[in-house]
Amino acid sequence: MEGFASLSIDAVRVVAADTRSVAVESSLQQTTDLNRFLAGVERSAFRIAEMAVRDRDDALDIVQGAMLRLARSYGARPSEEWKPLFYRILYNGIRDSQRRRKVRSRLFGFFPGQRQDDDGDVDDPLDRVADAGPDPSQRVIAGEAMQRLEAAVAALPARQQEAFALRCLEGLDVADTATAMGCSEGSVKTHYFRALQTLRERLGEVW
Amino acid sequence: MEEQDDRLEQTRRRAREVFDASVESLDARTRSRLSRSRHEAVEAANRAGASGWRTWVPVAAVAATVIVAVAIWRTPERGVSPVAVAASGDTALDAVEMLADGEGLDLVENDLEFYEWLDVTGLDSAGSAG
Repeated sequence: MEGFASLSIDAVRVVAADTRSVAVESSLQQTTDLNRFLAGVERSAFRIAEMAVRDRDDALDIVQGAMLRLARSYGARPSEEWKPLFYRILYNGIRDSQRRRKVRSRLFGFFPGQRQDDDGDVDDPLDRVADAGPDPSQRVIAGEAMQRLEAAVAALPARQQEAFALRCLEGLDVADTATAMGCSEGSVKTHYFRALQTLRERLGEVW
Repeated sequence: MEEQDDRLEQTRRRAREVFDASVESLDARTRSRLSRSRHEAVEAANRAGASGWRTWVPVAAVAATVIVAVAIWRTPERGVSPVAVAASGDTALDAVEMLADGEGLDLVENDLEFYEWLDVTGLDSAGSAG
């Protein structure tokens, strides 16, 4: 009886060790997938956030927060669910940032002597490094077109901005956009269509 | 209607081109900061995942061990009816349990009187049961 019991305990130990190694392998795969996913969306997510809040540092903070939140709360979910979840978190961060900015601007309205952008940022040596990006003249042209696009998008109602950014710029399908925006697919189609119409009216002549 | 669709499609395509170009032209500082943020997020996911299996694997192992142990001790011996065992106080089964016990084994090896005692007890038990 005792021998049988110790044999059974050994069997349980083997099963536990196997389960643990399977869990570790699965976790490593999930980590690789998550890294690949985030690398694929981080830059466009930053641009979308920057367009919405019109501030580089705030946009970086928003993207960082969204990445961390996705990793901690939804990292174990199937990877096909990540994109709409990530953008939902991102837009929650954008809205929070916009609310904070409103409060801050009201608060600093009472103290006109204070600087609003005095956030104590440390000088980053990368600021002084020459950029190995595209040709400067091309960048100027692209930059001007982007500025016009940003201004036109900023003038849209908030929900139209979201629908346009997710559908057109990020390339999400209607279902994922609806999940990210927390609304119906019909609403997504309506917001997106109106956004495109308005942008066409505002940018059509220039483009 | 078709003309309007074409114009909207043209706007969509142009907006996407401009946006993609702006993403490609991100400066080094921003790209670096985004990479750092990504690595922090992935590490956070690793920590969350590791703490997950470190918690549930030992718990599952202990639970499985307890279930197996209970199943072993609660399962009646094959071929012997539990009712008959309870009614007769089966001597042979008692002897097997004693032998399985470490103390019982020492008794068998070291004390010949034990055999006599076992013999008498066995007869008595058989007599009282019958």
